[in-house]
Amino acid sequence: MFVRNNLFNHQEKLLSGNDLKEFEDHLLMCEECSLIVSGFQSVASLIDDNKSVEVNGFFQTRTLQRIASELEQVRNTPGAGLQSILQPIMISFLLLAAVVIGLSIGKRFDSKHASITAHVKNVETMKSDLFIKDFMDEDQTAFNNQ
Amino acid sequence: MPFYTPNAFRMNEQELIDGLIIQTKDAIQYLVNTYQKNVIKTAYYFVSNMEDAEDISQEVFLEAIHSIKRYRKKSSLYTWIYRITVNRSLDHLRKQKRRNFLYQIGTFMQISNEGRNKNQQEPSTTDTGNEENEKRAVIENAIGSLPENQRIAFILSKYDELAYKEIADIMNLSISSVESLIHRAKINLQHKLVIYFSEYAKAKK
Repeated sequence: MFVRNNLFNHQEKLLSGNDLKEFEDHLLMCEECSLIVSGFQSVASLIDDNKSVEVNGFFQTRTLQRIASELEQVRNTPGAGLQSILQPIMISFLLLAAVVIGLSIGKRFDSKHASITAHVKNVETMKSDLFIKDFMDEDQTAFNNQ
Repeated sequence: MPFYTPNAFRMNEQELIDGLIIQTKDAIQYLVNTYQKNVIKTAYYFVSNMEDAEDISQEVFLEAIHSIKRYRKKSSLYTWIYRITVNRSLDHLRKQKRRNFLYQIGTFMQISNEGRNKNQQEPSTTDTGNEENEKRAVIENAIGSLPENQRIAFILSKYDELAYKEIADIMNLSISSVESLIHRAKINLQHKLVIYFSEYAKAKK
């Protein structure tokens, strides 16, 4: 386990003294660990290979051309600068309009709901009045019949 | 508007920033000329593909020019450009991951519908080349599968050979956090690669 836990330390030459001795002694005895260590060298070689990658000589020319054409495009787009100012204003305005519309619909619904509630209440009152009247009439009829 | 007039002058950071704000040819040329190597290489370390790295680098320079007014000088211009490069590279990887995921779903549905051609559509992994290529692919995958912050810290430290302080500035972290990230990245990598190399060693026996 010591070898497997110290692969980077060994590769970066951070092991010294007894640790280094223990590491190297184990490699002499264990074929599997020495294969692991040699395999691990690929990490270092991969990193070195990637570091030595060459930059394309035409990159600068292509990049400058692209930047020039994009900046040109921005300059030639009428109102491009204005657009960046107007866009957030328009979005804020639309949001505000949506809130106002929502509130007015809600208010209208609320007043309609209130009028329906009042109407129902009136009907209930009328019904109860009628019921009392019916009851009184009925009562009086019954009294008269007696 | 041609940029490619050769000039051999030097600009200090403030002159460069001022030039970029008003988008002078000289400043833009100086920016690309000075930073192209570092930007391309860093992008390449993240995406492992030169064409993609060059595309990312162009985007980095465009972003730097467009957003130079928002540069607050809390860090050096060099650090700021590195930060844009890392962010752009990670964005690219995320998009690529999403594209691959959608492609896999598409392929899966196609296979489910047709119920055939599986062997023809999937690239063979057994005959991809020699052992060295396979090892490289395993190592790249292991680095790619590290948690994002560990991967950034590891790449900037091992590939770009930046000092912990520089990495801390780029990642907006403390130096001790960077040390810890790199330490954990190494342990994770070690763990992942030991499994692979142990199988490889057993197969060799």
